[in-house]
Amino acid sequence: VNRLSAYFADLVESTGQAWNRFWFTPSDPLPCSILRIVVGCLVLVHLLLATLELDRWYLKSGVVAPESVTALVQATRPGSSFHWSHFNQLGTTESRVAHAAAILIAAAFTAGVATRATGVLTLAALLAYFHRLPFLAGHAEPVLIFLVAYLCLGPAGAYGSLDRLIARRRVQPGDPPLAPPQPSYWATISLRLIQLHLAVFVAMMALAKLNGDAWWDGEAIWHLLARPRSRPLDLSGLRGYELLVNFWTHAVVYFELAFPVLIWNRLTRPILLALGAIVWLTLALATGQWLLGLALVAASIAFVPHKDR
Amino acid sequence: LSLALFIHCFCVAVVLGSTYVRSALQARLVGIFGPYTEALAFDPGQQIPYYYTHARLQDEDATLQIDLYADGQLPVARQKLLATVDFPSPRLSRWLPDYQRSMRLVRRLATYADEETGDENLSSMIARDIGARVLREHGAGRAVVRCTRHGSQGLRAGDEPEDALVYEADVWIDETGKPEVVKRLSAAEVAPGRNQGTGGRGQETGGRTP
Repeated sequence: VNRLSAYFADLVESTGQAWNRFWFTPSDPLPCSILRIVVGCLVLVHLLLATLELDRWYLKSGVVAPESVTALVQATRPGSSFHWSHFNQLGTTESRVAHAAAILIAAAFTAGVATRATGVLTLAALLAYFHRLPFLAGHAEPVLIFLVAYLCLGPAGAYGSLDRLIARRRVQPGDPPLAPPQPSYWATISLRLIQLHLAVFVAMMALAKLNGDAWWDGEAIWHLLARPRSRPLDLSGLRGYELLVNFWTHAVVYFELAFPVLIWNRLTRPILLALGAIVWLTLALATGQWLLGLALVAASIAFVPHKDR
Repeated sequence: LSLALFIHCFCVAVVLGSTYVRSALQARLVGIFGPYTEALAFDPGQQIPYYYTHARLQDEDATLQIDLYADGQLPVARQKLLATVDFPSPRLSRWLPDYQRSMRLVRRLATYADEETGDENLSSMIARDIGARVLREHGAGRAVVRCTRHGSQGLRAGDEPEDALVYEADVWIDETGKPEVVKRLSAAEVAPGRNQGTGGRGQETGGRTP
């Protein structure tokens, strides 16, 4: 009994220490700052593309009326009612003003102006677009949303930000120089949340694929390439290369199954990061989801090893 | 803080880990987390097809051809055709979200148009919304909306694609300015019988949900 209780005491102690090390070891905010710039640029691209389709899709008078959205969301997710969007309430002019404001706020977040505040506002803006048409939202939108949400927590404006530049300019001759950004456990929490969420998200994408036969029999990529009206590139010349199509299909699934497990291993991490860029960006050639590919590659930056200064 | 982190990670892991098939326990848990995970879009899998295709009939491309007529109150047989509009527009780049969004909406219409597994109210609702939007854009009063499903070429020779008309409806703007829709025909009445769910393991969005 004593040995058993000692085992459990040791287990609890070790788990607690590992938990604290994982979440609360202070780290340099540089990776958060790099992510802020990269993710902010992708958010800007997403919002600028939304400008082209603002009237058609997002306004109250858009293709799908707000009440139809409710009915269609309920059809796939009964009981769901958590999709508030200001686009459902505002008129045409107000929606256009809100869209312009969203672009400005995202630009301020990317540039590092009042980063936490502009981060929260950017997140609110992204959610408004997502919830206007949740069943037609872009594949990249949920990835951008969780990246911005977690970057709001950490000191993402510590490096390469306008705030930092202004603070440096304000230092008068004779004043002590501006102190470099200090390691912060909020930077660690922010990065760890991105890492964990990305790992589970990729696992979800793999499980989604395994829910259908086409990703098992190796023909799913062909079915994407053969769609006559939605394939972004005509790669139908691959019809004569069945084994290549099989390899491409299996490579996507095996990679997405391996990623959530092996990305935590120091030795396999660089290989997975390189493979991730290849797999997600080549998959975009078949699906047209290039923004998702870029968002996943950007999120992977959270796993790039960084030595504290 | 540790407790908040644990609860958050637990919520995210449960909703993302049970996106396509949910047990009763997972459904109960997701029901509890719903206000949090749905509000922050942490649970997108049921709405967005991250599998891209399961090679089922509902994963095939579908497009709309919309015939426009001037008068909303006159039957189309007594009017001259103004124009035919394709949706999504073939002039749009397929790399753009606008085109991809349009294609997903029409695919959904084609799926709901299925007599056995579909939902006529939802297919008509989508046809009405798209039709009304196109009517407004072109200043027309009545439209005939036709949905065509475009088959894909098979990986091996001999498996050639077929197109099938799966839905057709009249859409017009009534005297009060409200869009109306009446379905003309649907998949079971016009399309050659193809096996719904070929190769797929799930339902409309790829999964069996309780």
